[in-house]
Amino acid sequence: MTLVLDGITRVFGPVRALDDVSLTVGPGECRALYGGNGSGKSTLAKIASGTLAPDTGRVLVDDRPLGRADPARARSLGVGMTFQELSLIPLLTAGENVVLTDMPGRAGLLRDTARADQMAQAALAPVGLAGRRDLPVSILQTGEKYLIELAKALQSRPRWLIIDELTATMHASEVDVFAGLLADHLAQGGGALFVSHRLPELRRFCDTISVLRNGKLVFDGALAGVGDDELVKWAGGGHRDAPALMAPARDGEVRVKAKAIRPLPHAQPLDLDFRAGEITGIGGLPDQGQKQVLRLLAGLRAPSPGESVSLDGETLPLGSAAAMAAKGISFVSGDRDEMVFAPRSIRENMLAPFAAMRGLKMPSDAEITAALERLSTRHAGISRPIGGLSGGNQQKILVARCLLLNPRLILAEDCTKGIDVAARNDVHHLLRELAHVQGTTVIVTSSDDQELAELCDRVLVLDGGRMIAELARAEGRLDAQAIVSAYMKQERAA
Amino acid sequence: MMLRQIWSHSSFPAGVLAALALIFALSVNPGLLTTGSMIGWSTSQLGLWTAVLGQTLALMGRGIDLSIGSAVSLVNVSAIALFEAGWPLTAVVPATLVLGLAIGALNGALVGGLRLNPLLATFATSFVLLGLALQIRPAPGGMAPMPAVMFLNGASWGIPNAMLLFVLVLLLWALIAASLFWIRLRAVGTDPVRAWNSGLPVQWLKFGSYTLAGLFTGLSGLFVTLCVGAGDPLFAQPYTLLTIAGAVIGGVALNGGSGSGYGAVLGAVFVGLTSDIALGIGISPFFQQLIVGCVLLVGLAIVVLSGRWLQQKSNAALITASAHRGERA
Repeated sequence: MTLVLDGITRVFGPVRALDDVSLTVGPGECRALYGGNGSGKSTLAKIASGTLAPDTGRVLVDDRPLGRADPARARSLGVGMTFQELSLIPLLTAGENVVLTDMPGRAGLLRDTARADQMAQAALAPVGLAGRRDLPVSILQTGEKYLIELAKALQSRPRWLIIDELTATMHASEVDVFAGLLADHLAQGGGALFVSHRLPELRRFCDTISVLRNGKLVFDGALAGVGDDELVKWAGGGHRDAPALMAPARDGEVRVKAKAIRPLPHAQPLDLDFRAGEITGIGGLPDQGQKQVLRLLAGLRAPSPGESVSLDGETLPLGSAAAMAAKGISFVSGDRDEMVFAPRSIRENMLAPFAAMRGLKMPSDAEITAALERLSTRHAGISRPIGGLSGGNQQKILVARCLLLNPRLILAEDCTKGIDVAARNDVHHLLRELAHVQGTTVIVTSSDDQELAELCDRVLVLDGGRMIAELARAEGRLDAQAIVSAYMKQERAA
Repeated sequence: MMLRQIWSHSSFPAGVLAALALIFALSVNPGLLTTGSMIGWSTSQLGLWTAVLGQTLALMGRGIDLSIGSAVSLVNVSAIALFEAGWPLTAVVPATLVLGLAIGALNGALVGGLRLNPLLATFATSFVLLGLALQIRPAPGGMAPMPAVMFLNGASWGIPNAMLLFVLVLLLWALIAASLFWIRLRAVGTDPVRAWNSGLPVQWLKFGSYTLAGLFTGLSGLFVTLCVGAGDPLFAQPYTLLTIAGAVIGGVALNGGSGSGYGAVLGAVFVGLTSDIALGIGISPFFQQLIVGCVLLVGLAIVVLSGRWLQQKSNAALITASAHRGERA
């Protein structure tokens, strides 16, 4: 009774994504699959779940071979997977999604809606979302979607669970729900392969670990025996320790004045100021208006009546992303579906904002390469499609683009989502440099409170569109615990 | 609650358009409500109404069927040829349905099996099918058995038999819409990769959607044969684009996954009525195409714009409703 991956090799074009990797997961074992961006973790997870076939090597599920790429067969053998990019169909309801593959039928043809609803309710109750089963997935919040993805994977009662970056955008309370379900799964003799970048979570959930580096297995053993330093070193860069704080924020002049903005439709109007050379984080429970603030400033959300924003004293044309970009505002999101022109080259992706605006000088290839160097981005030439790179490297390119644009204001929306520690440090380093050396105003949101605490000079905590706390590093009040207690206090009071 | 569900339905705008067109048509020509006129109208539209359901199946799985017009024509001339060869109606009916299924299976094998681009694959088969139809009957002619033709051009209890038959077609559609196949096809149409990752047999479902579309093509060809009473290799050619226009106006998404067969039928009713009205108010035939085209454009714009707005409203209503029920996680 084991899940065995034996001598897996997989080649994509010129890249050897996996090179003779073997690992085993036994009953009751939660094995961490860890490695830097592009180390082959996701590829291996997909091979284990039958969505991708290995070039050589084999997958054995309880001694039965998986064969060619066939998720349906893997599922029937008892493998369940949660996908980083989700396998939920946006137009169907949460309930329909959860039971989609095992939809009960009458005479094998017609849907048995009553029984499907019961099954959906039973599957969604453990994640606390049974009440949402009639809503289309497209309108749910991100964390909820990932919990539904988990419920969907568990619905077929798999013995082996492959979890790819499920918790990356989950909030602490949602991670707790996941932790409970995982513990039950392991207690019942199931096994799990847990792919994540978050070291605290690996330590919390896993006993054993397999570490990949550039497609090769570099470590296999007990997690307790390895330190965080070693793990970070394996993950890639490693040459840089936990990001050292650079010069404290300069006491810059107020650059961005947001007046009477409403983060959520029915919230009280809010006035916010952002200074030059300052990194401001906007935190809180998921979807409390963080995104709406950022998107208003990016021109990606139509302004509500009364909302106005000025940059260096000049009133901004809200509601137009192009006009805002022309004023020197750069937006970068961790949602690569929204940001990246996947089939186009790295160069074209870097130049896209320059092509969109008149009067800008196009950077030369040398400048592009230099910008990528500064983020130590791995690529096989800037003429190659960006879609061929790992998510983390794509993300670095999007940030490097801001470097070329040299904007007055950078808006970063969960911009390190799903990328490894080393890459995250690179991104943080760059944002700090932009703020503290070049005097750029930086505003970030993140689902990771630790990240906000590490990166920002000041964190605003939102709840229901209201600002409930302002934590400044200068006042020594900024750490992850302070952020959490700010919104938890609020939740308890409510 | 009930009201919200009605206006938020993807076929609601098409229903309003069809109703408006019907009212306008009646005001132009009040005689339209007589049984005789209703028979004339329904027999001229029955083939289109049925074929649009086939197009809906293809569109739902993120495909498209450009061969529907030719397929209906081929079924039509084949049926007439079989009648002329002395086959009885009881043999010709199943034969036409089998022919329709076979044409659908061919398209399905090309799109689902060989994974050819649906636009190009069905564009190519449309010429193959049209060529075969022209081989069988180069010019209009032939005759279907009179009793059957009389039946379709008749009425029971004051309702045209063609309409009653179409009710049966809609019942068949209701079965499909309630099937496991349908929800899986919607999943495939919305996002084939995610559907595959979920363990659904994506290529088989695409094959199935075209094959089942073929059943409606066969029915449509049979109805055309019995309504018109003759074979014509070019009669149903406009169906290809009319079914696409009807389905899209009826709220079926061109990129798959959303919409309903009933909406598509309402869209096809609207499309059919616009030409009837243009004819009825005596517009010069030289302007007719222009007017019909403009009305279709306006209809399409209304459907797309109002659909977007209604979707937002209904999403907001859904979220509010679930929050009110205290079901927030």
